Amino acid sequence: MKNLFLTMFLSVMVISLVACGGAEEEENLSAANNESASNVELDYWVPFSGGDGEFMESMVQQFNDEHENVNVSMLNVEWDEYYTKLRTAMNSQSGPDVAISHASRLIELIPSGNVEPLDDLVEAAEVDWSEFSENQVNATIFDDQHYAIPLDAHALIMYYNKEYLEEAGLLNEDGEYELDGGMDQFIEDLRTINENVSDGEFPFVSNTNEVYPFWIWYTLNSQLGGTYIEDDQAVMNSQEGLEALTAMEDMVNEELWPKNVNNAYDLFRSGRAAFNFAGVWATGNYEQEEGLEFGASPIPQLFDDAKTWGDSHTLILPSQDDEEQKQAALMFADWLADHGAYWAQAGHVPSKPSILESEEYLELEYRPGYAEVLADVEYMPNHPSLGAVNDVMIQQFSQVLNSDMTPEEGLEAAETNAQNAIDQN
Amino acid sequence: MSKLAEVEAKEKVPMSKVKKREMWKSNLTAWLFLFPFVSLYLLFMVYPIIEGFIISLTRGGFGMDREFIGLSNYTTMLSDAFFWEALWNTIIFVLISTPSIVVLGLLMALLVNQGLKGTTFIRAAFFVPYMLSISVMTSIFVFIFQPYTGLLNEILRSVGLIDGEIFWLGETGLAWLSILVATLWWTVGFNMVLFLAGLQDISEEWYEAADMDGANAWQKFWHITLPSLRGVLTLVVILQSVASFKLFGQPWLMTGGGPGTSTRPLVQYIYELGFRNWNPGYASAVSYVLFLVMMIFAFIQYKLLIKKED
Repeated sequence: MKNLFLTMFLSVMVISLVACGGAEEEENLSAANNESASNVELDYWVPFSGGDGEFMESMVQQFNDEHENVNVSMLNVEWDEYYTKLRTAMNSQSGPDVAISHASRLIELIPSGNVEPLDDLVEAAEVDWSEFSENQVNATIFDDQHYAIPLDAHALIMYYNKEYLEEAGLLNEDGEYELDGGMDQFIEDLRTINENVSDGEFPFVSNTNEVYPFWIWYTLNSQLGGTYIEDDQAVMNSQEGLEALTAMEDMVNEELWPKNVNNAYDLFRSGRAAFNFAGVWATGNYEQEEGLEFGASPIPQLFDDAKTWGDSHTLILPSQDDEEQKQAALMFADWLADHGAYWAQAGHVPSKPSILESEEYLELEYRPGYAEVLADVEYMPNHPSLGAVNDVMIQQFSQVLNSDMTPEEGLEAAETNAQNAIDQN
Repeated sequence: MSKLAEVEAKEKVPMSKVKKREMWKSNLTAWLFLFPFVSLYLLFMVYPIIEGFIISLTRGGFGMDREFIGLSNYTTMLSDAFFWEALWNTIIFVLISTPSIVVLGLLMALLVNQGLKGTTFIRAAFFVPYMLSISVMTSIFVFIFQPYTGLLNEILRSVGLIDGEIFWLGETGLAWLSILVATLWWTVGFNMVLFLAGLQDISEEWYEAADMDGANAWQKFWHITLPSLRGVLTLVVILQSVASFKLFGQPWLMTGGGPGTSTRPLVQYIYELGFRNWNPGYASAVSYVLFLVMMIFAFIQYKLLIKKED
């Protein structure tokens, strides 16, 4: 008897729950049907926390104004947390309809089966791969399938505040800084500046926490000809890697580069620093500051080769069933690539060569030069554990620069732990 | 005792049919009331605990095929320096924060219990921080401790105590101190309230009797107040050490676990393994170790503190 009642009660509960769910679903469906005739809603996620988010925001605005039947809403996520959020959401099928992914991260995202292959869709969305820079498209092909639309390429470059450099007599006749003499001369120039600056002003800034030390180290390591990941081996603990990290620590120890900095963009923008290594995307941010006279150039050749860190933004379609959504998302992605000249205002280099030759792009300040920087980019190795390995570098380097760990200890721990991260996956 | 005996006695008497039906009805009612809780508990507690253990025996990213690898995740841990560092960080934090928070909470409760003027205000002031969300609380402390523009360094400079920067969040020892101070300020009010409730349960008569015997304030505290609070003390110590073991938000939002990984607690390591490195198997294994360590700690504390009571 008792069980019978319990069973009956449970059945009633279950039935009512199912009934409720069913009713709701139906309502949603009909709502979607009504809308789809006139309107497709697209969720779009981006990791543009470096000052370039505003430019993307205006582009989305313009796209929405031009397209009556598609409405894109953009979510700008802090760079550091972006992939955590994106991957978790994609895995639980609650991801956005279209999202930014760095080319270097595609290899982590695609094997989960949550990224839509594009080949069946491109025809209807009128995407023509030949319009894009060839090697950028190649970086988005896995198992002979296209998985992403390249949006831009970007690199680490050098910014300098002309006021400080003028005062220190470091500008040439054209008002530009040209380094001849490698790392030693660069340190010498920083010292010269250090003699003249007052408290709260710095010869050099970049964040000493988070990702910047890694990018700078990667640049110096590449200039020295050092290695990073080869096959499934972490091989950053080399003579070259150590020299690169030691050079960075020397700058901090000599107080040419302040410790514990998390807001280097703001410090440089507000005129409190002479030199700054930052991504090309900071250009638009710095330009908005009135009265800031700055120059931008490739990272100078500090060691043997002119190399720099770089990556590229692509647009992916997290898996979904609705064909119409997919088409709209792809059309939006291609539209963004087509409007690369506007996106270039943030500082990125557009992915379509025709834009690089357009009047609109060539008229911009600094940017035409950035396209050439790309030739110097030493891309990160294509490895599914790259994100985890980079995280290890970020943690160890911050300890070396801000705390009492030596470069030797830091790099050794970095390699051991990077190898662990590779082996665990 | 007597009530229990009565119930037992009743059960032995053979029940009439009517009584049986009544029992049955009340049982059903109880089940109906329990149903929502039990079903959610099974779904959101028991199932994930079992599933978590199964995942800890496998490898492979979320949404990909999982490969059974036995206890290999657990043996990996033995040689993982990051795991030991995070475990050590967590245990040290528990050992330092728990006594500090418990003692300070007790002192504050004693102060408030004096019935001095303005007590209501002080009590409220002590408790208010607990009501802030962790993000608000940590934002306040980041604002105080941050270098170059932080409040504390600014004050120290203006009174001439320092000349330059102290990196409160950027050097291992100081970063731990900052996290501890923030945690103290944030959570001590809750423990104070628990102690206060305990204090108000102690009969005034005992103090009066002690007064007559000529006991001084210290003797009264040591022989009356403290023994009477033992039950509350057990509760507070266990709750507090469990909370300290679960440390995550404060370092995550104040130091990011840094400099480097030197203030990274175990929960943050688990989070990073699972959701940044995409390694749910290993993350689950580390979670299980944390669970085990917490169980052992709570058990030892419970045994020690209860024994005293007998």
